[in-house]
Amino acid sequence: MLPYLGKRFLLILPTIFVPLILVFLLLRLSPGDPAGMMLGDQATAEQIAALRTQLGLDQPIWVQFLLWLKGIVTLDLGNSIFFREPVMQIIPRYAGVTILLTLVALTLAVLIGVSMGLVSAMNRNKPIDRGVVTTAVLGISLPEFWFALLLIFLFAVTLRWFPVAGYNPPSAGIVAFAATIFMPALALGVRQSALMTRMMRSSMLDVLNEPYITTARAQGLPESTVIGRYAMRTAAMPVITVAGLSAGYMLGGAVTIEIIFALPGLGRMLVEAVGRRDYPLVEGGVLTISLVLAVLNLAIDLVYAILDPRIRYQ
Amino acid sequence: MKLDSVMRRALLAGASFAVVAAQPVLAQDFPQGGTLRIAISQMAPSPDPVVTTFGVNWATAGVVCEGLFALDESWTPQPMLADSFAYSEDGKTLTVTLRDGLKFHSGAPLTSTDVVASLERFRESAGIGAAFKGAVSAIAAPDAKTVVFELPAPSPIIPGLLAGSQAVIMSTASLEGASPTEATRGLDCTGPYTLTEYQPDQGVTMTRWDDYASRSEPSSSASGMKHAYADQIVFRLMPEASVRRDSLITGEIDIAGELPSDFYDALQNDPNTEAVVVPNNQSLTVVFNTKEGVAADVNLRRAMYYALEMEPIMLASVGNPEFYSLDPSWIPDPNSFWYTTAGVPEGFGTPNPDKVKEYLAASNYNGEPIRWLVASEQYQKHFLTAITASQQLEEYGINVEIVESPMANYIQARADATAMDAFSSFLPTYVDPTSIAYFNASYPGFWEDPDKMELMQQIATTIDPDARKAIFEKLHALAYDQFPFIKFGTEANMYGIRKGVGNPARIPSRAGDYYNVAPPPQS
Repeated sequence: MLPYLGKRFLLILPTIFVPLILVFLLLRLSPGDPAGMMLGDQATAEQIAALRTQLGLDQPIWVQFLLWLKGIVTLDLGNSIFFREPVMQIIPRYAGVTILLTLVALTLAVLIGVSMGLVSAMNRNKPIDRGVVTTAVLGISLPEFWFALLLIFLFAVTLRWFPVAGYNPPSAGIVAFAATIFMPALALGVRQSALMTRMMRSSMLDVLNEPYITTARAQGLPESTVIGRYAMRTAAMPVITVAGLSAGYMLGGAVTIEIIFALPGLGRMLVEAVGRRDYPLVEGGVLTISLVLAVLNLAIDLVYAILDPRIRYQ
Repeated sequence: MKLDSVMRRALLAGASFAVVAAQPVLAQDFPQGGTLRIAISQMAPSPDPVVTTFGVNWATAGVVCEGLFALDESWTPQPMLADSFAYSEDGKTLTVTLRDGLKFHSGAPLTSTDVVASLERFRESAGIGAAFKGAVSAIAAPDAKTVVFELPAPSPIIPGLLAGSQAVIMSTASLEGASPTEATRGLDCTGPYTLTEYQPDQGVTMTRWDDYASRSEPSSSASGMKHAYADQIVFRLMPEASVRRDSLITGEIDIAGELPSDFYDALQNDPNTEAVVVPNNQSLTVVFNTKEGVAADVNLRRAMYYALEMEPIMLASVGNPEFYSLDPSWIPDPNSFWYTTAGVPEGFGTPNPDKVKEYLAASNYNGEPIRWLVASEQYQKHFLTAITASQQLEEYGINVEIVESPMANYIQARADATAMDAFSSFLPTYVDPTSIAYFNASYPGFWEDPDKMELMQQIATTIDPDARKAIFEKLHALAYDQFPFIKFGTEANMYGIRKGVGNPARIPSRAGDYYNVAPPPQS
């Protein structure tokens, strides 16, 4: 296992570096720069040019690349051009919100997806199965922003159960936190839960037809044991894959939800940093997302081995 | 007449001629208490107003900080931290005496040293700061209460420049480590609220400062008495307009800033909310590259003006005829002393096909595409005006290529005379014509006509307000002859309030004076 882990960690390096280099080049080669965005729309060309010089943006791109590379190697991501703070201090503030949002959304997605998939599989071709399948198709087809606005209209404007937008950190109390995270997490997780429902249903149907399930039933084991102990464990494998992919999707794709619900997360921060051309912050954000995704993928692979004794990594 | 009194008259030009100046604005007074919760659409990484010319980022400093002067309802500068001011006989020295007993939120007394430090930084900043730098050669602090401005030439515009949101006075200690492009840590100012918390991308909390030394004159926009009704003023960042509207309806906020006119009915139909329409907010415009390229041809620009029908353009952009007016003045607020329609051709907003043909024939235009920049973030103001105008121009064989790009690209491209022929923009009311960005020859558009440069020189150094107004009317008429920029119309601003919000702003000059707005009783 340890050599395998070492190999995987080594493979993480290019996985992270390639997108970072692409982002570096795309940012520098695309029009627009931080100087213009810092000074605003009333600044003259001379003022913008002077600030470009001050920020070192008029240096040749290869010089900027070498300086950037040095920063990466020495784990110094530099200061945000706009916040004037080290990127290493800014990122955790925003990443924390996105990670919490993803965790809650993933939990909701798994809870909804697994239970609905299970119910559907256990009631194959019955009205309840058709209802779940139809709902899942709808869930997959729903644009997240639309669903988010629908949730706001229903739960915030009509029923007044939750605030329309805003964010309370867990330190403000679990109720206050839940009040602001529930709707965004549901909006983010519903599509993934629909995917998991379909995956769980089809996986469960496959497993239920396996001979060892028939054997278990023939031995007179209670249905709850057959499902819970034998069928679920095997059927969960593809769902874990989907959950891993979903987590990655949600980490990188929470932008719309963060904007609609005014959550100070990494996605919204990245979008604004790109808009402002805050190069160090964009690069820091991409690095964080790449790193989390790479580690997440590794973790999922390891979970496979725990759940399925046949899988052994070398 | 002594020069000093002429200067003072020049400064108070608007107050002398505009009847609304320095009038008490409150029909009733309101009790202190409660929290005023305001949803905003954008927020800067720092509350420091000096480091950016994006006006939307000055909101926090507008509540927390003050300058030597402040604008009243007629956009005329009135003393704020200044107690008195006087020009020298030759008009080349302005001496400002500070009010007694002023101090910063940190408790440090405000002295002329702080003023000099703040304004030295301001004069190195972009936008109005650069104009201030050109008009002032040196700033000195001969004693703790006196600030002396040395001017290269007599100029009446200094108080106006110092009344802007960027010319705020901060303590010298708080400026340590800051530069014109590097923000301060927090805001140590003199305003009626202290900055309690500033969380970029989340919100701002400002708390009433009990030691605030208010002026005693009646409130008039940012000038005069500041009531500080709310115990706290809270800005909450909500980028989505529909979320701001819904938060207002559910009572989570008291004021929802910057709402599209589509939400008017929803707010008016709700018994707990009101849509506030602030007319004459800003001009929607297109600015031409007069330096080079196809739009440098003055006859083509004239042809374009006469080809345009403004009503459909404004309707497409604003969406509701009650939210705009077809007013041709380059000063959108008629309350301003500088408001004029001098030189506007008869029938503003109505196409004149004969004139189009005449000017096209006189031009060198041969159907080349006119590269018209729009910022994607300003879809309604930029794109919709541009697309409607381009359809009208096509009927006369004038071809427009709309170049849509993110704001960062737009700002960079429009500064490059080789990269564009025109760009969409908007223009609010300015305190003084010399501050209007479009008239600056180094602003994108690069209008360097010799007649205009001469008039700008005259207006910058002429003292008498009537004479200055006459010069501005000539400038206005010149702009309506050469069309370095074309105005489509004047747009209103709409925002929403909960019923019970006291003294909400209903005129453009009051934008951001939340210290004079009272929260609804129940909040």
